[in-house]
Amino acid sequence: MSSKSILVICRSAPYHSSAARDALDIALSGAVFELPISLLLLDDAVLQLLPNQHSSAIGAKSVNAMLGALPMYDIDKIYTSLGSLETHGLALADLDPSPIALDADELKTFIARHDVVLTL
Amino acid sequence: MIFTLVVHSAPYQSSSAASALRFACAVLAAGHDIHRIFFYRDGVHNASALASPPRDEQNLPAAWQALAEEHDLDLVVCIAAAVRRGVLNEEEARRYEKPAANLAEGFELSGLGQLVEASIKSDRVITFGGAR
Repeated sequence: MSSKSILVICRSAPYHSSAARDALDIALSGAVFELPISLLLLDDAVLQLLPNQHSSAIGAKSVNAMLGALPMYDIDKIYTSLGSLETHGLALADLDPSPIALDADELKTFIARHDVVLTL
Repeated sequence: MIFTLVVHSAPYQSSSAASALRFACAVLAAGHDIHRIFFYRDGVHNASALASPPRDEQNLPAAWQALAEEHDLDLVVCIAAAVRRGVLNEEEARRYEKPAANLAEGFELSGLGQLVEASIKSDRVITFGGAR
């Protein structure tokens, strides 16, 4: 079976919908197939990277903690855009795990270089 | 060209599932192949045998079934997403001790691995009703 790179793009805040967890589940399934997986968190999804989420207060599992566990599945890099950071007034230093921030041009080439793009 | 469709939305409230159905018809009419249609998230409701829209409205689960039968399509429903939302086959209904099963004939419950496998095998993977 030939190897294809998969890009998972999520645009939702961590507890707005099931999108954050559903995106992670796709990424982990791809990792099981040992495919190169990239996770791109745009717009409100950049909020998934804020540490110290006390999600148990709303009866949810911490999306941030799950993102932190991705290196165990060989998903080492998480990506976002400079625009997403700017929208929410965030700096890279605010985020853990720390993403790679792409500008608008880099975003285009980054998306284009993947074989499969799955959006949530 | 080989296509895979991913459906994230339930029938009716959003137009995404109906768009996916029309897209599938168009893909087949143009002579392409569909490797798989994968129902994920609220899209699992497309596989409910209990959907009962008025007779003069489109019945999406029935339309998927008819299309699948005509073209021998693989309709796969994410098992984790489905069981969470109460779309169960006989086996899962027994496992969770539920009084009934409601997975429509022609649909199959399976894992997300089926989406990844389909992504590898297909030339194009098209998502309907994703970004939310």
